[in-house]
Amino acid sequence: MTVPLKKIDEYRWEIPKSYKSGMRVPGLVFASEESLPKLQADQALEQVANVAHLPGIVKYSLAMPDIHWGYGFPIGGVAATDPEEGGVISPGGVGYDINCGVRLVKTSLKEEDLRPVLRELVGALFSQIPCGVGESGNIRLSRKEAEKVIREGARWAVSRGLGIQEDLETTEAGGALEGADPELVSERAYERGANQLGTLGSGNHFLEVQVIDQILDASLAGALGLEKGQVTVMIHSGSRGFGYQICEDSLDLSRKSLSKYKIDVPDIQLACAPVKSPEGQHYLGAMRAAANYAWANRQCLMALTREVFEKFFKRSFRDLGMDLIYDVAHNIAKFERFKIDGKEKTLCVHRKGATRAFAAGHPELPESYRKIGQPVIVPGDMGRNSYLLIGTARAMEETFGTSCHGAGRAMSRTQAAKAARGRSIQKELEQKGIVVMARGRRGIDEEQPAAYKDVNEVVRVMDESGVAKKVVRMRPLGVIKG
Amino acid sequence: MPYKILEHTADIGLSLEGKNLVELFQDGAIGLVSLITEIRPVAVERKRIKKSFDLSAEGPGRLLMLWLRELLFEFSAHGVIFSDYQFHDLRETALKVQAWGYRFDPKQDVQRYEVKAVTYHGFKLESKNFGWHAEVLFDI
Repeated sequence: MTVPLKKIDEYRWEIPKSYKSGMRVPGLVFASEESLPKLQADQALEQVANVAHLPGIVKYSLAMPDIHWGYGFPIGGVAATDPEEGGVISPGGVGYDINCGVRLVKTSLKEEDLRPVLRELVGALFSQIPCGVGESGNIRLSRKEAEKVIREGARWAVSRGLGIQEDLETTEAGGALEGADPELVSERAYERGANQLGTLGSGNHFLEVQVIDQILDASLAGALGLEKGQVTVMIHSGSRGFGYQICEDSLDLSRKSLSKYKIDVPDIQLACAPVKSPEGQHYLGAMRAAANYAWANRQCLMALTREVFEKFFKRSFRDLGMDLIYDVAHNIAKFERFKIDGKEKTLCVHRKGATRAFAAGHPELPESYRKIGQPVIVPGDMGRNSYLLIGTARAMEETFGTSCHGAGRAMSRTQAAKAARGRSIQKELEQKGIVVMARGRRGIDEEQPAAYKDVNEVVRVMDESGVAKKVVRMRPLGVIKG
Repeated sequence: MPYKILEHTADIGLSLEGKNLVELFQDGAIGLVSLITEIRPVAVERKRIKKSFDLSAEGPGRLLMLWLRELLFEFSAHGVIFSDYQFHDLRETALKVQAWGYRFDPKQDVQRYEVKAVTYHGFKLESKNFGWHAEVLFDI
């Protein structure tokens, strides 16, 4: 069934509140006209309308241009609720991989430094960084240590020598949310998280060595210390089994409390509880625990990456200029202040496959970015590009300070596997100068470039609609995947 | 094949049909484990992990979800693939299963999907004239 879309302007489309009887607000979809037929092909837009049913939702159920069919929320969905107006928090609005996110590390290396040794370097990363299905990390967390990880997030890793103080300054929320409560984490989550810290995972998670191939805003790029030809490293991972289990536990709790709070949702995966209810507070404490685990995880993965580069180039990571540009969460719920109809309000912002994109001047930004705005990291696919954007004032007014999080899938896994039949995606990428190493061939086939929308188009919508500004574009050189 | 793959843009699902609940629950288990790895015909000495599952729920749908979650948890937390099952008791609200499995070795075993969770999205279990039908979507 086609979901009705009312054109607002070239990149904004409204799903009227009248589309479904329980919708409390309209949907607002950021998309180009050309992308609409694909969006109508699965249940993504229906899911935008479903999210509009959440009690206390403010203004719109939002969809970023990388939106695709998820479970409950669409991937690329954003919803802000007002706790003072009975607003809810929904574990499905964050997803199983709590604080899945990306970090971008710069280097002082140039593409020509890497070219002759690229295969060896990617091989070293592939052998040193635990990735794949069922792969354990080198860190074993006792219960006591796990509780520290939960409270301290990336700080825990830095305090163990896996990074430096400056890394925390350029990590969203300083790499740890306040209010994470180890007591609210189930035994099962502790068990699943015990040996998965410092592991990349599988699926769409990756580590990519890239080169900046286009400067799109010279002044912002300059302020970030980025130039054409410079090598960067991007890491995409989350809270691993620890977070998946917390989401599962919390969904059950929210599901059970739906009748208690007289909440009706069109999809059980949208189960939620008022932010101020015991169930809502329980989820918040546990979700923050998983968010902090994820920041510790990405910090450990970056430390491993630096170590590989150090051994490989026989220079210290500082000497190699391996500074963290930024680390962003793209599956998270946070309390942030926004002006709604002229009034300052604290809202619970759910970002499910969407990235915070605060404008210059925001007090939550580190000193170094307060003048220019928050870096937004947008990975694409392993054959085309990735981007670094900057948040804008328009995002603050319109999208609760949020931008897209990636390219977004265009093909199902089975379609992608079918499209790869009789081909070697790995060889095709190699012909383009991209070295890909993965644990299974199926992973490469299903994550092939054509399985994703063109990130260039997705980012163009964000840039031209004024939500986020393009700064630099990267091109992949080497990719490791689980 | 005792199960069919359901297409989804980002994730993957299973469609299951069984003459009775035992067949359905067995096929669901095989389906889930086969999403994670290729089940190996393992030597007797390797197949030495044994575990009893004793679950209860308000209905067969919830029971199927709990059963699949148990198997996923065993893999995610302990790296164990349970591939053989003996159903001692399976009613609409309770099950008792003896399962045998082996420790997954990422160096030797085929790696397919890292299944993150069994979701509620589109989840169904219904009785049909031939027996039972279920659909379940996994987060990948």
